[in-house]
Amino acid sequence: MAWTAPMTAVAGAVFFSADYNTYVRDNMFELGVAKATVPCSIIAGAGPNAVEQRTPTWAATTAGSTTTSTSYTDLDAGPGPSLTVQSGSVIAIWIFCNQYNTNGTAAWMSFAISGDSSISADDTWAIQFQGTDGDRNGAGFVFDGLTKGSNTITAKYRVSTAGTGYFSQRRIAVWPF
Amino acid sequence: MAWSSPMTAVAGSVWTAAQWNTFIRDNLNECETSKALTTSGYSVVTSLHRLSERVPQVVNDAAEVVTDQTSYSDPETLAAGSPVVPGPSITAFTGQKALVAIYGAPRTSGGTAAWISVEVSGATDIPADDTHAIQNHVTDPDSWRSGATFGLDLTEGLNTFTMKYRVSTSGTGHFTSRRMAVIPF
Repeated sequence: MAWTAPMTAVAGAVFFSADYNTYVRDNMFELGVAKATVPCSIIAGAGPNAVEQRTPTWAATTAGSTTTSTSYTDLDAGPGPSLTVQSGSVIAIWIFCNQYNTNGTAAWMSFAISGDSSISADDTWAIQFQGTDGDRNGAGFVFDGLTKGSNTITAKYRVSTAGTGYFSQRRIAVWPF
Repeated sequence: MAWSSPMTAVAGSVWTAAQWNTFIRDNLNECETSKALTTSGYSVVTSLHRLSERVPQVVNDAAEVVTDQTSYSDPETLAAGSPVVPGPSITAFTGQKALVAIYGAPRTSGGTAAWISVEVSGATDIPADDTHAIQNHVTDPDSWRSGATFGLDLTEGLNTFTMKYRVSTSGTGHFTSRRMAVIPF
């Protein structure tokens, strides 16, 4: 079914069952309340006269882990945290962690998007801390131009040039639109 | 009232008042437009085929506050007598989730870390802890600002979010440019 611009009634004209089914029943099935199934979701536009349910979600990995890689990769303890969401072309993503580098150069946390979209982790959307004492910070990024569908956001990590990067309290929050 | 899957009309049948009331009136009353009360509010799903309005809120407090407490507490102001001034805080009706963003310029005079976290009270009871905190080790005023956004799992209802402060082990924590935003779902 799809939304159809509602008919204009004319005095004296018969209101047919087909009119009801097209302009009332089928249009009602296209309303946000008809699409609502998952608590805490929002109703977002999905194109002209179309809405879909989008569900914000988040994940955390509190345990610490390390990497010595100077390009973005998974930590030694394994990938993540990671989230898969149904999204339109726009997603808001927040990342957070406690991070430091044993030799005082920077430690970086970014994220990659895979699935129907493909975006590599990059310093352009990263948080970075240069120091040997862990500090806790976060940042938010909004991506547009994504491919609508199932998209997976996975945290990735690196160090600047040397040393061992340590990362704990790693968190991702995703709000798909 | 509740949403009902719209009936299918059949040619030649009578469309009754009860059908109008159930499938048109009651369903329209469940739509997002019918639920809209507040400018900048938005509809979220609360259960199957049920929507409610949520309203995002922000609060700012630029004033410098301090604490020497090593557990999360309300800060003191720099005014005479060092009165304790809680906050800033936001009270919002939420569902089972909310995004909470905190921001500030924490520093310590002693060189250990200064922390800003958030406490939830009301329908939900979540004490401020390091899990949902921003933290800096710096000592220079205004040399560093930080922020973070956390997803919180909550009990649906009226929840109050209050920023709380501490230092790691010693020294005095100074906190300025304190900001918080709550996006309830």
